[in-house]
Amino acid sequence: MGKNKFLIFLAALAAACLFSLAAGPAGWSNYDIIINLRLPRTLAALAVGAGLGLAGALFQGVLKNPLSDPYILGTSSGATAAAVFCFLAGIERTSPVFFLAVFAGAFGATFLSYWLARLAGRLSDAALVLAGVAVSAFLSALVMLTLTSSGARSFSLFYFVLGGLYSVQPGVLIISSLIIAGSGVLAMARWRALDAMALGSENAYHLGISPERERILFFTLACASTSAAVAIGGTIGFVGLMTPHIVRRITGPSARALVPAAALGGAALLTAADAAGRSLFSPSEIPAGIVMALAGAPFFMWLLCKSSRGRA
Amino acid sequence: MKNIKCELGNFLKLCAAALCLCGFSSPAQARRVVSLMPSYTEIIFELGAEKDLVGVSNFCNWPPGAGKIEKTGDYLRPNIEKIYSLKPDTVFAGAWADASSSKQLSSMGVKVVSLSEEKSAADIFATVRLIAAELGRRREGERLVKKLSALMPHEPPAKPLKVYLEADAGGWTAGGQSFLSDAVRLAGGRNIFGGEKRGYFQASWEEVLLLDPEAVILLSGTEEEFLARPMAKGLAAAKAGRIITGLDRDAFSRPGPRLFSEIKKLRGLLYGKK
Repeated sequence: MGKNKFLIFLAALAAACLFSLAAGPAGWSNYDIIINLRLPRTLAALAVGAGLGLAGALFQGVLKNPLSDPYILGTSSGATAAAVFCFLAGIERTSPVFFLAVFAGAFGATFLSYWLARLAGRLSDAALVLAGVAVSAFLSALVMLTLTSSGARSFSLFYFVLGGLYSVQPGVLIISSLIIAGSGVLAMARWRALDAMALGSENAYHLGISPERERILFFTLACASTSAAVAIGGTIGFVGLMTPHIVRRITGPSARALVPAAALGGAALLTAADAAGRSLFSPSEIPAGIVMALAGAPFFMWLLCKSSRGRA
Repeated sequence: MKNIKCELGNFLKLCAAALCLCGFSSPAQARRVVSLMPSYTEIIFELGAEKDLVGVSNFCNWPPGAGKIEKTGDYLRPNIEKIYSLKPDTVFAGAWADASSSKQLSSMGVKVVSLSEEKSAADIFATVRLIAAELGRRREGERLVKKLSALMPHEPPAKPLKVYLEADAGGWTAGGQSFLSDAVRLAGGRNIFGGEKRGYFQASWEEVLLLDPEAVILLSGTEEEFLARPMAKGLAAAKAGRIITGLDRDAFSRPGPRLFSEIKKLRGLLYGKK
């Protein structure tokens, strides 16, 4: 990808940041509000968006399946379920135990989907997505059951499950950003492996790459990134699904450009969505998760139409 | 008057006939009542009609006696079979909650009294009167309304404080269409979102900062959590030390009898000497 194409993503990112910093009931000249309120929130949206965009690109690359993302594979549900249990157990959101648990939830759920899909014999991508849907549905039901039967704090937990950036703890933001940045760097360092995987397991094997090992590795990075995003903003859907599709049109299919572009694009997308949610309906606030679902679900439908037409 | 006399006459005749037939008079049959809202249950207890209650919602936990009554699901999704099996002659349901289950019960021959959502203290009194009338306890109803009215502070403060009420973490607050907004007004405060023509909504934190409330009421969460939000320490309420967490969450967030003593308590917390 040429430098010019990268400028497109940086420009989109800059525009989203400007919108996020300037939009709000206090106008765009209130310095205090911009620095103390909108800036931290913009940073949070950037981190969560980048984490989810990155995870989406990795999952789609490894599975060669355009409909896969952290939500469909159960990764987010696993992280969310672990987070909810941590809250109920009284574990601090900045403690390492919390991050480990959320990562374990994400990885456990993804691995369970993977294991279930392998039961049928040779791993097929369709089976993995199907298993992911089952695991995801089960974990969401478990979370709902826990929430309806737990008393006092259930409403604020509900809010977390819905996904949003209303209150972000600086400590959580810093730790999560480091995890997401680390996963991004490690994934980019292995772009060749990701490209080889796109040629199919057999071809990758002939190129000297062990598909099984790489798959686990990229799953781990995608799960780390997803769980860090969930730790900040709860369950926010569709960023991981939409972003790789949008950026692929500009970058082309190679992971070398696609992976960093998906992270940048995801950051821009969620930052714009969050800014829209908190400024368009003032004094109400619409959680970013709902804004993303409003924009993302029609996109998902369009994708389905397109892929079925492509097959016909 | 003539009508009543006439009816009374007929009634006496009937009674006499019944006496002749059975040889004794049976006691008035006890009512069987199901309440699908915690506030209705609390009102029924206050009216002294708790013996009539055969079923309450899962959320009904006050007074303690309510916990011992059969549970019939929550008010949004009442358990129709359970309610039917209790053979109630009256079910009190929220008109807004679930119209289809009310219809279902009606079609099964159960009398459903749908009470409209209370948006002010006056609406709560109307609900008390309606329930009292249904239970044949009009006098007790009037007495209760009088008792509750007397609890409310009568003199408005010279300058009402601007109040931000957070019902739940994440900025869930009450607009002007909610009894909570009226409760704040009755306690002598002015809800900063009282002008919003809505019940409950999620307010943007930036808007709260701009409106700069002089008092904050938290129904959930702690003062520390609240003050950790960006710029929260700069609010007039924080500077004046008026972050109020001492209200009883259940009592204040239900449109029932306990709300009125909470209003009195809130008045003290808002304007009491420190």
